[in-house]
Amino acid sequence: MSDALFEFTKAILNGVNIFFIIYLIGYATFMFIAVAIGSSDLYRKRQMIQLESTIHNDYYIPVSIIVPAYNEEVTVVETVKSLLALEYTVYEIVVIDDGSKDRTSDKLINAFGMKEIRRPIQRKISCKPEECVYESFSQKAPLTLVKKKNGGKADSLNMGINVCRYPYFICMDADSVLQQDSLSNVVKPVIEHGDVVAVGGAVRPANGVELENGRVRKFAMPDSIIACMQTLEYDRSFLASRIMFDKFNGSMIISGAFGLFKKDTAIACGGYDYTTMGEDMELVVKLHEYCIKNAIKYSIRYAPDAVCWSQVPENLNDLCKQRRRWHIGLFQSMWRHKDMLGNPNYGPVGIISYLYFLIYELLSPVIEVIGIAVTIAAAFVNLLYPKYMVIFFLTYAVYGMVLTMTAFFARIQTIDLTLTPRDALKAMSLCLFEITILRFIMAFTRMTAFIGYKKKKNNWGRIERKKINYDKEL
Amino acid sequence: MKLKLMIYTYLIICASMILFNIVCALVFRCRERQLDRVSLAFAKKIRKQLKKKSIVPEDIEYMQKELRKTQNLRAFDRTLSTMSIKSPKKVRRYLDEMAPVFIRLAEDYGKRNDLQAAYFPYVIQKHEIFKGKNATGIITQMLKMVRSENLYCRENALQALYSIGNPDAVVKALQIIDSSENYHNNKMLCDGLLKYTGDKAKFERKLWAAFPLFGVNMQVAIIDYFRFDSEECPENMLQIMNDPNIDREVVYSCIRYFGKYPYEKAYPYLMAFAQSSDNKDWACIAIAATALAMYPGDKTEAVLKKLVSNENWYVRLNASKSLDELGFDYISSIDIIESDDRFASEMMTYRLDQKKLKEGGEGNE
Repeated sequence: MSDALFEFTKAILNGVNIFFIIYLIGYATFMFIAVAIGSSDLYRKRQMIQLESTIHNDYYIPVSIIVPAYNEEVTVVETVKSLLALEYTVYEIVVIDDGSKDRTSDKLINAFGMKEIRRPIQRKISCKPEECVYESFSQKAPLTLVKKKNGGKADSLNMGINVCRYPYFICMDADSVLQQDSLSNVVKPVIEHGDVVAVGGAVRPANGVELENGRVRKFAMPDSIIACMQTLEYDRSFLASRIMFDKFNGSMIISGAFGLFKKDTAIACGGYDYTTMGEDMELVVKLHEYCIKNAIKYSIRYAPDAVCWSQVPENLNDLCKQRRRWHIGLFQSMWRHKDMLGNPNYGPVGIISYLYFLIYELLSPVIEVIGIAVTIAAAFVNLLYPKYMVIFFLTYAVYGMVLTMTAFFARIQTIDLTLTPRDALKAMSLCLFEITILRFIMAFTRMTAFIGYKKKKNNWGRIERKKINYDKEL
Repeated sequence: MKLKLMIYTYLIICASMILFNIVCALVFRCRERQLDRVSLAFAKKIRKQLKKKSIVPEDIEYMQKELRKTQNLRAFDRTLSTMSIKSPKKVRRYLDEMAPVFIRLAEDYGKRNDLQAAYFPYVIQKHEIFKGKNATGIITQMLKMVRSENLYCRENALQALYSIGNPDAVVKALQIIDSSENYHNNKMLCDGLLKYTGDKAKFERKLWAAFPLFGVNMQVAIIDYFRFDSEECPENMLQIMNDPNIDREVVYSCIRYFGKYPYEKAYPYLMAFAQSSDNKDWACIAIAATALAMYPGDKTEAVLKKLVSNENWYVRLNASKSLDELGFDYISSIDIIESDDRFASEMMTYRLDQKKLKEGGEGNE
């Protein structure tokens, strides 16, 4: 009896181990292909700039920038100042104060001499009512502030869509800074292809970076180890997977920190969904669904040269909160659009992107945590060769580290940033920790994300705010 | 054994990635240094050539050989850009004499990859190498490039043709783009047409002659070009606006033209558009409401006041803007502001409040 149980346990552990190894090989292969495509794409883009294959004017597409804000008194003025320094001709800035309990609106009103105005708002998408509207025309671009009842980020973005006047809008976070050429770069895909309904920008951690007039004055790895590891993680993610998905119109996520959308299409598919925690992913998936179901020729693009500098959490607690929120949002979107899975009607989005997000994003925490646990258990009962397994995992870690560094240095080299030897060493040493320790902490965090998630409805997901190193005299 | 094989495979990939990183870093550094070096060498050579009374065949041979390399063409471009700031006349003369080099290079670059091919017309247009010249060889090559699937090849070739200033060549290029399936943004086309350097009157005559043959996208671009460039074609515009077979997008562009350049004969048509009972075509009513701001008078005011109460938000917005531009203030708008129509009242009040705010805040919307 005990032999049969042992054999059964052995078979289960073996099966799990084989599945886990296949899973890791699949991920490693995907990452390799994605990093190779991403790096070559960045190098090609750099060559395009050198050989003047670029658009030399910036006024083809008028753009509205929507900045939803909740308790952002520390950063909101600096954010708007950075937006006013953008090198772009026709744009407006719309800040939505979602019932902040601090002085977010007062800070803006005082800093930019804004005046209250009775502005009629056309409600194309439902959202919580406005309390008052302020406008200012004394800056480089028209500035509007809408104070409304609290309804969450998605609700604020919907209000922004209702208020904005141009055919394309950008959504961004109030704690982020757009690089001075980010608008010109994010609209490029719209000019290049007539069917673009959304463009995602590249989000890079602002921690440790000094900006002047929207340009990077000093690039350094952040002091905080947690922020530092996220810098590496962001570069890998934004360089690799996003560029690869872009190649077959398969992007399923445009970061809420920086994305451009065609207003008409966003309205036609109902705008942002305030019942989900991942309103940014939900909108992109809805755009795919809407365009495919209505046989509209469309594309959703990624612009790696359109850069937004955003604050990332500097402590583990904030980071875990953020990742829990993202994971719940991912689950909600994927569950709602489950009919996309493997559905040929949705083309590569259903067959490749959805499957990737299901296996390597949504289920990955469970697979990774169980995989590691089972491997350790199997080693304890002498079911596998510990020596080879240790070598295998070490090799996998080094492999992940090299790919991360390739992505990181490709970014550094192609946007003319210089890195001190100390920071280069710091990046190299930390990426091993990122790929091993942080990744598994995050896997565990995401696996337990659903514990108590209902209470967090409409939560803005606060992280500790710091003033961005932004130095611009208006 | 399989595990070992996998580990070795991973390690090989790691090693090749590290090598890739190092090679890329070195190539980037070397390329920029090389460009600096070549630019300096070119500057010396060009200065030497400029000192001569005229360019000798050896100079042409030398440049033709050197400029086959794209990196050298970049250095040449950079050098001439710097030199033309100090001595534009000398550089002009030099380029005139060097023109045969570019005719010979055109075919070669036309066969290169998209990036290199697109760079060649960029240099031609930037330095206006063939401005006003009879450059059949270059034009033929540029017309080939206009057929490219690559946007930048097409756009740079178009820019080169605008800089040459041959009207037939530009119209031909527009026809090629129009008939191809490649998307070319019409605002880019309009902006490019404004850069045309040749005889404008002749060019515009050719454009009008070819106008009916173009598709909607190109027709809109051409009408927009006239709107930004010239007030001398109202009759043509009126004729197009009233053509029942013309696409609505083109009609909208014509209305915008008359909103910029008031033309008495167009007034009744604009009034008719603004008073259309077909609210499905609200865009037409809204654009006509904007255009009417240039046609002051009691009739216009009456129509605009009615439009402020239109069911469409954009029509109300544009009508209120036009009334504001026609000099309406709080007193003269009192019948709208105090009317039972809340939407009209809100819109008019907002417009007037905004005007006050702009005047106080020196705004520039």
